[in-house]
Amino acid sequence: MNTYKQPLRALFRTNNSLASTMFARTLATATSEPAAPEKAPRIKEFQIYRWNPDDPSSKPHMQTYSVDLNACGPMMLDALLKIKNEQDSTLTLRRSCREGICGSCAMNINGTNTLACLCRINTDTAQTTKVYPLPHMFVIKDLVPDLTQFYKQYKSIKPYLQRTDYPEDGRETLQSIADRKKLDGLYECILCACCSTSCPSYWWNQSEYLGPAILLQTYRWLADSRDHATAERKLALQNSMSLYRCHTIMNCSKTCPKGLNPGLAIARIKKSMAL
Amino acid sequence: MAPASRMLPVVARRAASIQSMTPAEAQELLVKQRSNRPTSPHLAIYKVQITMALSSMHRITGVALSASLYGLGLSYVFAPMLGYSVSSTAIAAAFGGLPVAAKFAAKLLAATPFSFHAFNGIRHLIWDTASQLTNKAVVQTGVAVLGASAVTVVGLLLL
Repeated sequence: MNTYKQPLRALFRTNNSLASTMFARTLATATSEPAAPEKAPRIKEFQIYRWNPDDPSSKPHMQTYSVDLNACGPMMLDALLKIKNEQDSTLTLRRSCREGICGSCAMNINGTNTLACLCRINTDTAQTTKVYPLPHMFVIKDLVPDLTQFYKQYKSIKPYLQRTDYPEDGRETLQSIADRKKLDGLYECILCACCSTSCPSYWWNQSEYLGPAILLQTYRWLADSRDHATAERKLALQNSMSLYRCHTIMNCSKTCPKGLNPGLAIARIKKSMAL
Repeated sequence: MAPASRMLPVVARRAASIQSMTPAEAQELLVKQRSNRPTSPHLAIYKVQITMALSSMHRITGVALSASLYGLGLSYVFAPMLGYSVSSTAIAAAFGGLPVAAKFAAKLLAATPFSFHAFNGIRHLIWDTASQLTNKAVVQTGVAVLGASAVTVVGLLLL
């Protein structure tokens, strides 16, 4: 009886050094238990893009780190944080939720954009895993891209409900279950920018083309039965750059770590603009 | 009761130097930093997938076909001024005089971009109706376009 409380008591009795170790391990997110002694180490090489703004004359370069996969969690974010905690604290990356809901750890892993926290480490130790920041973005440091333009573009589409009138009783604006269903696959977007930065059109025309993520959100407001600004929203897209730089390359839908389909949303906008 | 801050021991202090800045100075620093920022690698590091591969092939074959169309049209108009003729008869006669290998090479060169661009154009028209745009369908229609183009190229080569 009460045996489950034993480790808990032990925890409270521990001194500061053990407590700080445990704290550090919490930060390391899911560092697995120390490997059993008979297990041969599985050393995996990671090549990571490095650039330091404090040394602006230096060129970006790839730095190689080795990690024993037996002592590392299963996800790419585990490996990156293990490197940062144990080998090189200067390695810089964004991360927050470690469960694919915040979109902070978006980066290019083995050639495609994804969230490091949702991407399993390729356990083939013969292959080196390459990690780059999101493609064709200005780099602030290492794996941290400058998303200023991306957020400005999001702001430009007025991503909020626009209505001419609200219900008299001061309560929420209702919509039918069928109308609400139209927003499924759109509202789940976490704006991680994986899709936009996988799009060659966005690479070459970032200053004017909105890109898949922002267009998916544009469609989210166009598809909302409660929104009254459909005409204005469409008018804002009625030019050669904002929407029509999409050439249906479909890298966006292929790379979306949330399994959404920005390419289809853009096609639906184009169709609704034409018909 | 003592405030929480007095009860908690200070565990660690971070030795970071902080410079106070006016908003104008901060903006100036940001602009300076921005001017140094490199662009992250893109085309060279992105994994080549059927999505972007077929799209770039569509663009390249489209440019090649347009260039040949305009090139042929303009040369038909202007070649007589230089004493040549680019009429169909003259082209057919020149083609007839080529060795068999060169004939096949020329046909292949013309038939491949034409077939691919035509079939992928149909794929784009289907996409414009907002259908076949799932990840699976994009791969399937892409493979179908490549297959149909291959068959058509062989057919045109045997003409």
